[in-house]
Amino acid sequence: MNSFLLVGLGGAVGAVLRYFIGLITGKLTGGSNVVTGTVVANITGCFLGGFALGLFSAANYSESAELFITIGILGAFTTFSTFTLEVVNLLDESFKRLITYLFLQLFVALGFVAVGFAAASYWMGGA
Amino acid sequence: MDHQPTLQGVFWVALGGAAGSLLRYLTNFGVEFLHPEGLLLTATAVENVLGSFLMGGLFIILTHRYTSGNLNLFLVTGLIGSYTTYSGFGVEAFLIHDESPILFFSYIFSQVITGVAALFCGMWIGRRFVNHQE
Repeated sequence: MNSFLLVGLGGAVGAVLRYFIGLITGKLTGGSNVVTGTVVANITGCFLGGFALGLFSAANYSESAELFITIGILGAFTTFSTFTLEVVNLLDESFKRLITYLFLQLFVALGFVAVGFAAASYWMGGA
Repeated sequence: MDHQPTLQGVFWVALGGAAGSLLRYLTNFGVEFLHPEGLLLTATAVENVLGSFLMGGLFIILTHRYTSGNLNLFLVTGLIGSYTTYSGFGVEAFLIHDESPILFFSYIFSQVITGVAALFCGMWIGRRFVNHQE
């Protein structure tokens, strides 16, 4: 399939999933500016990104699957620009909230890449 | 966010998401051509910093003009939200970790600090634009 079509289609799916995660997270937390939809999407997306990295680098998957899933869905599902925007909005708030937010994004989310990668290795080793 | 999603809103997010992802894919080609094998200045870094700049400007202009609505969903949630990526950032940080811990921390902090600074620049230009319109 055409690579542009795969990236575009995956991007549409990823963005809509992030939009829904934002709405659901906002409802569940009552509009918290620390545990935001972006935080949830980035943590989940980093886990899946690590998992996909382990899967695609070891097994013989088609380039189409990588374009659709990694660049399309996960690339659009996670976002950096909203992360920096939320950081700047928290600069006016308490220092504690900012630190908690940065911990979730930089420690938990980035750590979950390694967790996802390990999970993929384990999953393929067991299969 | 306490509004109910409409089918029309979902459509605008999807359209923006497709456009933003395609622009990111094209930027990947462009950066790989102009600056291949960059360790800190990767395509993802370019997209995240440029996207943060645009997000800052749009945030000011859109909150000033349109509080919500389909334009916001298309541009902010869809286009710029999808143009930048956090999974790509995380995966690149994870891969660079094999090179050296110093590079790992340099990659993360250079991108976050430059991204935040770019967002401030975007906000500053956005405010000037808004003031100029009045």
